[in-house]
Amino acid sequence: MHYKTRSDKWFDVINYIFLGLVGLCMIFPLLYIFSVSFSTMEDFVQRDIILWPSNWDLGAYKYIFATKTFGRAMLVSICLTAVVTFFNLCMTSTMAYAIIHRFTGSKLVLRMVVFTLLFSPGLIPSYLMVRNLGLINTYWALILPGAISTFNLIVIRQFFQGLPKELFEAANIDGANELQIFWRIALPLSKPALAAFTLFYAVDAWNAYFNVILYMNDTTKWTIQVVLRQLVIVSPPDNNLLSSLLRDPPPSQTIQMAAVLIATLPILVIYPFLQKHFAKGVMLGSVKG
Amino acid sequence: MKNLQKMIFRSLTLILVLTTAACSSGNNSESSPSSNTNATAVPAGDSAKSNEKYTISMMDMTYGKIPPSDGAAVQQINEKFNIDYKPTIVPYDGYLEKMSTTIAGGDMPDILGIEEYVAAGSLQKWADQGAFLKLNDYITKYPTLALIPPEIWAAVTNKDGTIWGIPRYYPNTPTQSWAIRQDWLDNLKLKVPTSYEELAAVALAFTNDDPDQNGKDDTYGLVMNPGGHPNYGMGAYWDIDTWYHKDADGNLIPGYIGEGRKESVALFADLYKQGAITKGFGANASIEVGQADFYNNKAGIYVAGIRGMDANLANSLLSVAPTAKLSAIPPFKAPDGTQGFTAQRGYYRITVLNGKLAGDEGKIDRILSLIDFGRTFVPIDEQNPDNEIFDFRSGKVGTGYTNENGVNTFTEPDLGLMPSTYLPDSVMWAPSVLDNKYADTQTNPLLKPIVKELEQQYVDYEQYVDPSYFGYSATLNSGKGSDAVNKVIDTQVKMMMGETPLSDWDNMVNKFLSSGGSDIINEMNESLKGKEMIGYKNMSK
Repeated sequence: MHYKTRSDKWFDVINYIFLGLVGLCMIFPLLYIFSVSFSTMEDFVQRDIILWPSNWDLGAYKYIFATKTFGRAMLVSICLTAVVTFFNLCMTSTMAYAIIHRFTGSKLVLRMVVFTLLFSPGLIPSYLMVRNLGLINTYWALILPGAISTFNLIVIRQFFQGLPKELFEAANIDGANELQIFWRIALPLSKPALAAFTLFYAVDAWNAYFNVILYMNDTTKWTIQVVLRQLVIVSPPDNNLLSSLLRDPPPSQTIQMAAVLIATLPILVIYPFLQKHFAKGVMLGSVKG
Repeated sequence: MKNLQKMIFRSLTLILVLTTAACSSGNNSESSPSSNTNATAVPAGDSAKSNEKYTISMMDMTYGKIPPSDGAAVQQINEKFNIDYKPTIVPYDGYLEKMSTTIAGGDMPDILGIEEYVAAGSLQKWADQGAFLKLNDYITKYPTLALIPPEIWAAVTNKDGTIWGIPRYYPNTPTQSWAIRQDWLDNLKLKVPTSYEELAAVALAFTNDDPDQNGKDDTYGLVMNPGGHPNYGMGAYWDIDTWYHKDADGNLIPGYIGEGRKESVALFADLYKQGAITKGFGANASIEVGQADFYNNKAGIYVAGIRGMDANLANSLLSVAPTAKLSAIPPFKAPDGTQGFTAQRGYYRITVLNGKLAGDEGKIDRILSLIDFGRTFVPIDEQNPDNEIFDFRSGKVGTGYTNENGVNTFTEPDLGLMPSTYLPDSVMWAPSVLDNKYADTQTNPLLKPIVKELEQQYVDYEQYVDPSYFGYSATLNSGKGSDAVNKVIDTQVKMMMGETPLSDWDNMVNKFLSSGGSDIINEMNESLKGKEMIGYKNMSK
């Protein structure tokens, strides 16, 4: 415990105040969304800004949960997120481990990987590929095409390359084969990187919207984002004319906020569990003590 | 968003106030078997001429909740039309991409719904490539298609005369109508203005002479919003979006660089200087700011609509000014002797059929019968369980909707109980705008009289058919085009607010022409070659 001078203390105080304010700026929008989603529409209209609901009201959540497709879409999203994340991690880490080795054509493989990073095929060729593989209207359409994110692949490869070669050699001498080395040495040592990519992949999978619209014609296979998006979407300019099609008024602000909260909640829940790995992940490539 | 410009121009007016109107075509008495308002039902039996069961796929978007692919109503449609109906209904967010990839991927369904603002560029291209079925031989055979007037068919007709789409109903009342505080006029012993000079005089009187007689200097004349909306074009001659004027070479030019707009910008600059227009309107956050002035008894002139005026806003005006009365301002006589507003395009969204259907007459007939059924107009006073068409499209009383004391309450679309949510086109085509009975169904005491007046205006005055509705310019629908147009609009706002001198007008026009404007004008005029210019026309006859 070293002695703090007065200026140190001042510095600490100012620091705490500043960081506290920054923290508030981050928390504030979330708190606002949370509070509005639990308020009545009357309160929302009458009060300028709601930081805490004065009358707790579950109306908005009831409305959303009563949406016929909600339960199923939630289930689809959760399962899909789990499967996609696991699948992506397997694919990415195994490939990354493979291309740190030198083998015939390894350079070519790496070049092909980088090529896809620079040139994207575009929407229509992607669609045609999915269609011709017969994946339209199947969950595979959401799992296979984006199974490996090139950028993530290269980052994990860098991470594997940063591991001491001596470890692998030692394991090899002890009689471990490549698969065992990968499973027992490379993966456990890459936890921070894997944690980071788990989160990236999970967020992407959870937020899947456009691909669902594109490849899924069957509404029973839609994800929660598609269902929620309609609740927060702005109504068309001409509500009156379309009223024959659109008999419900555009959802109120409170419902929109509740939808936003439901859409982001799972990610918020996962985050704390992965956060400790991030701290290490951030140190990637820095001095290792 | 590529077509921001068109969107902003036409839609903003819609958003501001959804004016409205109708389509009663000049020739429907000849072509349509029944031009009276009795619903001309097509018995399903007609369409089931052949007993063959067809599989019909359909893709469209919706702004509302998505009905499930397997809703009970789909079964009802299947039974009624003897088909196996496969609707795919998608949220509009992402629909353009879905539609484009589906078409490009060769998976185009039998029926496709298109939002023309979103797909404008590709639409022409696809139509030219023959992606859509040629409909020329069919349009007189189905009652609701026969009701479509020629200027609307023109919008879905190719250069070679091929009709490739079916426009969906949208009333063709003026793009903008105008409301003025009649009680203020009475207080000041003034009359509803009939020219820009009178309009300016009234606006100044509203600003300076305490029209609400509360002893405070708290009122002004015209409401104006960001972007110079509404533009107070009191006729096609002044209208900012309308292609009315011609340049020296005889080419049509858009209103925002036309003679009429130049005059009105000068007038508004003068009024703004004298405090008769919303202060700092160019920098306001949204139209709500100016709108609130009108409905809080602060401003006396604003945009109105035969349809879509907000009863809540009207009530808030009545609560602060119980004696408030609104009158409609008629179109002004233009220097060239014309008098009338610009009509709206008279359709919104288009239904197209897959070009590959050509030759399969049985299936085409079945599809068109299905479309025609959804478009069949049921008069307002017949929308009850006794009307077979209405009852079917709404999913049978007690299931899809309830009818209590004459009031229909419909189920949510995501329950999939109403055939109307699945039909390819379920917007009823009113034989005439007046059949929509806007004044009769308007219950708000402030709005009812002005809606009545606007209906009368619709009968009394001709309206101008804007040729740009059936012309096309690729540049206009590109980012470059909308940038060029937006620069013009911005400059005009600055002129009205006194930040840019009016002498800059020619400079502004030249800049517009050199930054894409001349391409817009050339393309538009090129696309209009050989098409009939309708000009002014009385829509109610």
